[in-house]
Amino acid sequence: MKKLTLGIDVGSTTVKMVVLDEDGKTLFSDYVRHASKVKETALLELNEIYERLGDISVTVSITGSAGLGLSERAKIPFVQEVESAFRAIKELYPQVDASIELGGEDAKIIFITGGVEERMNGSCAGGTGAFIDQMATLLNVNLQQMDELALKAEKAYPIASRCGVFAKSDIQAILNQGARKEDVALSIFYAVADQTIAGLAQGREIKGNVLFLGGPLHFLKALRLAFEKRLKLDDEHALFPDDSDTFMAKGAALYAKKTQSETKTITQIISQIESVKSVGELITGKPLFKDEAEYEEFLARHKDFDVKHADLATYEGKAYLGIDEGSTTTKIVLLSENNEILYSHYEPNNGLPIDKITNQLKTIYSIAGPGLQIVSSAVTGYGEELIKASLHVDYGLVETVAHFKAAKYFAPNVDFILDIGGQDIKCFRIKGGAIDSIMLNEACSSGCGSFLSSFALALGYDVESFSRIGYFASNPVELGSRCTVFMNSSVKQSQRDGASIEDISAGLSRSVVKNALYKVIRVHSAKELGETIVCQGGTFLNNAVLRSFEQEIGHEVIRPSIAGLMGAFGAALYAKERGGVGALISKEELDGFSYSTRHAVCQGCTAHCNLTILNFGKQGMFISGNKCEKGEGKKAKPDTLDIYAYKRKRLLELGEQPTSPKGKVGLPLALGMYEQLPLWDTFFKTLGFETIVSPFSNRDLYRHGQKSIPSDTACYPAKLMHGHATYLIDKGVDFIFYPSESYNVNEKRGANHFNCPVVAYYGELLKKNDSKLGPDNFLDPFVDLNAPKPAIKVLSEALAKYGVTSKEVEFAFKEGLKAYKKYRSDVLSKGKEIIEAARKENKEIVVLAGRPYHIDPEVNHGIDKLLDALDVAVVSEDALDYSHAPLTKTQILNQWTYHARLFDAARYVSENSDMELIQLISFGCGVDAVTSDEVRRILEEKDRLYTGLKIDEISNLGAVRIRIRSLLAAVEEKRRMGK
Amino acid sequence: MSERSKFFKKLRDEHYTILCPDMLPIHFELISAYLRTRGYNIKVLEVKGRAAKDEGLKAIHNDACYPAIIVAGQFINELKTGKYDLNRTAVIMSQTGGGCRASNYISLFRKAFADVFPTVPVLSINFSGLEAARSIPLDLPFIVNAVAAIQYADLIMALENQTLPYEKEIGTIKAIRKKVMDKISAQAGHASFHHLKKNLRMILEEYRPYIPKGERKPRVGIVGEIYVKYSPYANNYLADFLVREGCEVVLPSFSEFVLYCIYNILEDHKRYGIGSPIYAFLAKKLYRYYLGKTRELNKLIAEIGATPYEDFEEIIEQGKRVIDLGVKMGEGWVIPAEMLTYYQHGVSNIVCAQPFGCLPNHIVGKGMVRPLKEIAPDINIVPLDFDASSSEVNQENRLKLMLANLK
Repeated sequence: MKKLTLGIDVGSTTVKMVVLDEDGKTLFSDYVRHASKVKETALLELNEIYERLGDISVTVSITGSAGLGLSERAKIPFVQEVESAFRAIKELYPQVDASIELGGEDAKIIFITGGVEERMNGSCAGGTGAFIDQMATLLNVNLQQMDELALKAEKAYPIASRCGVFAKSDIQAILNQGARKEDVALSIFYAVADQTIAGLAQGREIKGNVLFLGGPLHFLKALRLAFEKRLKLDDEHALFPDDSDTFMAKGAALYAKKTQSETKTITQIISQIESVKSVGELITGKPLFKDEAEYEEFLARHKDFDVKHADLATYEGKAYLGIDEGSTTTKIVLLSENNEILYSHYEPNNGLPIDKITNQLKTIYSIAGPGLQIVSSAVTGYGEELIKASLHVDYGLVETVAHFKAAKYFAPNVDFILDIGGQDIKCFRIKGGAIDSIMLNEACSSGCGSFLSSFALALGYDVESFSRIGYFASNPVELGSRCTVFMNSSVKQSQRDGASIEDISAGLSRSVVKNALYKVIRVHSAKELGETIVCQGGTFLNNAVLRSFEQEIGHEVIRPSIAGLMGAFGAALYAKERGGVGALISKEELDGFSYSTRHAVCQGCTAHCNLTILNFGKQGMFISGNKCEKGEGKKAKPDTLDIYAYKRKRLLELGEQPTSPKGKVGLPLALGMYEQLPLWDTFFKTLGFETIVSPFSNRDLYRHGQKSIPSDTACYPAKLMHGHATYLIDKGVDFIFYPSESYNVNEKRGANHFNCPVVAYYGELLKKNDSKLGPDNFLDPFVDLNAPKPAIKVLSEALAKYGVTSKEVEFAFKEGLKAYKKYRSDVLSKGKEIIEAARKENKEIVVLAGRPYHIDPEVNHGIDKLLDALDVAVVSEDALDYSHAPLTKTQILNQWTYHARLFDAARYVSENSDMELIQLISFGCGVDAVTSDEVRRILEEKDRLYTGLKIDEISNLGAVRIRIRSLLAAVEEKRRMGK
Repeated sequence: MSERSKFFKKLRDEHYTILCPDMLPIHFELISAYLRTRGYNIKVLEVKGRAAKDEGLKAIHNDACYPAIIVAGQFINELKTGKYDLNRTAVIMSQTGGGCRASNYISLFRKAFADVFPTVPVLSINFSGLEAARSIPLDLPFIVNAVAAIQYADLIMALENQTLPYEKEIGTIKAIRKKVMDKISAQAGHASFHHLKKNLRMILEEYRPYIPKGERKPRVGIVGEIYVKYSPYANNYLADFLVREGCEVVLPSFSEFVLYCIYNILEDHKRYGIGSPIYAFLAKKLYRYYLGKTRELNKLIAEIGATPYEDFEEIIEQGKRVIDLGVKMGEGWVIPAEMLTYYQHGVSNIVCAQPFGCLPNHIVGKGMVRPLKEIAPDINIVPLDFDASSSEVNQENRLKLMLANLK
């Protein structure tokens, strides 16, 4: 009898099985999704094999991330999936130079020619196949439809590729701007390709014959094209095997053939797998409800917060329309004169907000009798401007204001409002009748609400029935709280350890709450939240989430029955309060309403924003995607009260190039160089070198250097460094200079004056990870600016081969320091000037506090311009003069130069009531995990608002805009109350 | 009497229980044994289960690093048991005072404790003059005793790693650990504690019968951030996992980290003129003294046919081939230096463990993999991130990949 062999691949989302005969011919091959029922699905597949091939004897092995546990317990040999792919490649595709495999959760790469290297993605960037699934849900299409859409795309948008959660934030924003679904679908595939290439290649070039493996690359044509395009491969060099979806199972079969001598019958394997019991140690919390009675009591308690309804068809009189155009959903409320709800609606916008609302308006107009007059209307949320412009809504208002209004209606004494929507978590603390502090989630913890629903969908439930099965789960699992990508893999882990679907459901609900409590609000007890807590947002309609929240804080809360509509309800109340101008699109206008979408690239400046232009015919048009007024065809304001703009200009006011240069030195405009450019530029020019300074960063520059980034969790400003180096090398410089400085300038404002490790040593990393760089063309001497003597010595040694003497170096160094001091003092006087001018003009002043490199337009994504456009004067943390002030008392170890400025800035603002502070925090900045809490503390001690903006590759300013406007609204309100 | 002296006298007189984290169970226990003889009632925690991680996530900013989260978590979890008189309990942490955020753990804990355990002081143990009012006064006797304790602990750790994978009867090696630990602890505070050679030999003799003579199992080095590298709780029992998978674990000695810290002081002086000449002179003396101690230990280990630790001066030399030794934050240059030294001595399989988002490790861990591969093409490194929320499946799967390529 021929020797048969079976390979089983149990991945995070699918089960694959392959039976091979002795000659390697495939006798059976199948790929099915396991919907988290690993064992059951594997058994079904084995039965299928039994049906088709009989009770054959085979050698067998298991591979795949979810196969690990199964193999251990079923006592079937295991082979790691990358290794199994490697075996199959060597046997079946000997001509291949590299392979890329996308799985449900992991991405893997194998380099074969030129030294075998096998790599998997790091702990972040976890979402690949699972991420595509989520995106399809977001677009309300299935995978095949999404693929078809992408093939019809006209353009692609840049989307953050750090990880699935980040990409999602970008996509949401693009959808809300009215981008075409086709283009969004393509952008998603490009994001996946970029993420895989950047995260895995890590400097090694992917070239030659490249083999593409795994389910997503097997089924999605557009994704294949995206990879081909990004890697610049032609059809001949991009290999897509017909069996790429089951390739690893084949590899496992080949592994079994080579390594196993013992054969088993299919029935034996079935019984081995059947006998698997979960033995893992599950970490569980207490049940949501201990019994039916407790559940009933809970329901009854929350019934109290209901609103009245009235019949739209028979209603006569004035009515007020509130719209909340959120990131994923559209919410509408129509209120009567007596605050009864005449009509309300809640639905996913599927990226088509205008269509959804016009349909709803049509419905309202068709139901309503002739007596209905919508006299006033207001819109809030992400899509505020779009809807206001397209449908002529009377008022636009900031989300926080809308939510506060609504919450106050139910609980006039409200102390704390927590809103968990699909994408965002928002919390406001109320003090003395005004919003006192606002906390919004940042990218990492976003998408919790919608994660719950897409997870439910993936398992074949709707979100409501999914959460219901968790109510009485006896052992809800602990799933951690970093982000949805981590949560996803924790779920897989708990399944391996035998958690039931009920326990997972309850665990997920609790996880969402923990995210809000410990990541966003950062509380320890209910006491901090106050007595009256209102919970709202669509996610809170989920009783499991609400219950988890009450349990976690040990305090009862108020959830209005219209929790999901609070923004719209608040907007309607606001419309009513303001009286209205009745400009809302009428029934007749609505019938003739149509719009078209067009895309353009703004030529206003070098940022080249991607514009989306919606044309409403006679009704005008709406432009989005722009970061400043230029995109709308308006002339940009002279940014005289924006110190970021000033610094960008001032930094580049550099001296003349020498006439017969000794050499050409490249200075990368990134990280520490953002403050020390005047120093080093002067230094080198004085020595007789020509200097080339890399330009401000942009997406293209980033992409050009992306491939040599070794650590994908480093901050964006650091990752940009690779692009700057590439730029300078292309410019033909003799060498690039970026000094390593453990210590920054000692400004005597703290216990020490370190740089952070990344700013200090990124040169060492760069030099060794970009293949074009080495000790000859990348100089990163270790200098301490506070110790000129050794610095001069080290610099002289480093530059000796260019024939400069240490005397010359000494002189040049002194000149450089002078230029540096001049720059710093110019920035200080400009800061003073801006503050004085703003005070004269009675303008709001914001200290946009970050690091010197945060002035880079690609790093801050134009936040300073946004503030400027909102008529706010902008100063920075290094433009305030603290030199005569006593040291700021901190509760933490104040030991970094740049960060000491933050604490000083916070104190400065806390002492000046006409100034506000916004802190810019780069994602991945570990130091800011420490500083942000401290800056907040310093401000809140003086009863001031703290706003922190997390920034990264994501260029979605939607959330930022809302935050800034919320801040301004809260400040205004506070001042008004104070008077 | 100064405020500080009064405070620490009170701790001793009132028999405060001082909780110490689990980072290096053997080392910390022996150092504590000595400190107990000085009147400090130190208790090294034994952590298990998920609760400590969850408490940590609640108390500390989730973007702070993982060691901060689990250390705070284990303290809070322990204090919540009700076993302690909160008016007579303190916690203690070490601080290195470097440019990485680890030096800020103490401040983070203090903030976290202010709400829940306002009466529990957070103490520091450091040589950098930080936290003057709340750092345990360290004198010469302390240094001498700590050096001895570290020698013993390093030896026990090395021998345990080299014998555990080969033990015939499960439990034998752990029993030896207990036996020698009891013997050494009992001597703390007595003159015999300083009979280094005698005690080291005693330990060696206990383990000697179990030192493998024949073929060795594949050796896997663990390097990385100090907490996750050493603490079994923090690294999800990485060493146990590797032993189960049929490997022998190689860990750097704690002395090496101490030498690295002293070396950085010398470098700072040499490079930037930081510190007075006398300070530098004393540091240099200390360095030579300590280096000599580690060499004595290594010689003894070699004598019985076991594998000694790498010599620190060789680590320096190997380090220079990969990275500038001015990179000194966190574990700095010593991480790639260790990896290369291991490779030179036949340990080509290496787990580089770091907390998720660890700043120095962007540079010295993941950032140095490529240059290491250029020097040593067949080195088999897996960088592994640890986090309170990351799942074991993901980690195990990556380890399995490393194991599939065992050299």
